[in-house]
Amino acid sequence: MTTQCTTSRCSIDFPTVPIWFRSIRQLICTATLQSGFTNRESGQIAMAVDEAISNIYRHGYQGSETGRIRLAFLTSRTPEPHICIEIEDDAMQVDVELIKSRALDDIKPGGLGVHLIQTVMDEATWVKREDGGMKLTMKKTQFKN
Amino acid sequence: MENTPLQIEIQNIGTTTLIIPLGDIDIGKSTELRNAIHPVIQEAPKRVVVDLCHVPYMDSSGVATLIEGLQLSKQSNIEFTLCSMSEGVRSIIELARLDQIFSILDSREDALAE
Repeated sequence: MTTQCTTSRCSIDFPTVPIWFRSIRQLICTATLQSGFTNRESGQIAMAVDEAISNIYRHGYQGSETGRIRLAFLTSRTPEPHICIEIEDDAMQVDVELIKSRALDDIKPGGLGVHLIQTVMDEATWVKREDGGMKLTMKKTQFKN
Repeated sequence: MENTPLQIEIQNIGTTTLIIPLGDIDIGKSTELRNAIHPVIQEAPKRVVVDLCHVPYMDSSGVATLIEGLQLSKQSNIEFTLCSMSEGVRSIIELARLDQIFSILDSREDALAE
């Protein structure tokens, strides 16, 4: 008898070295595909996570590769494909009000990351951690007609 | 894990310069794409085509590099075209609502035939 695994839970603590980010994208893709998201949805969720950790690297740690990022996620296949993601860092804190998407009709390089995160995910909430650094919580549930 | 540089092929075909990046373009690689695009534009060909058929994934830093290329090209009256986008690249271009800003063609053949 075989049983289908309906949930996955993972946590990883990794350095802010960009070569790690591809592995993180692959990890998210595997977990979301296994929990029932489509290829397109899975790719977009991985992109949202990639944008979040790239922002931490670029802005929070200002390009330093000695920072740390802690990623934790929980996926479930039932009652519908779902993922909850938490990303913590120890980087410079920023005012939550300043984390926002830029106007897209202003065509210029940069500033797209927050827009992509907020467009792809159902929820994306940044808070300042009491111990320093920031915490981002993101959620996505597959929408079915 | 080895941090290999992004491979980028550059071909001159008539008055068109074709830029062909090979691999994911993320925050660790977008500077290499920028360093390839800018000198091509400075040489002022009639047209620059970025063929993205070998780019499975691109993040917002890669998109920003393409926007820079488009804007630099416009300043020099150079046509700047994207072609052969993978599903992953098309997804981010559409989410950023840039599919109406860039000239996008389905294939390299289409781009070179124009």
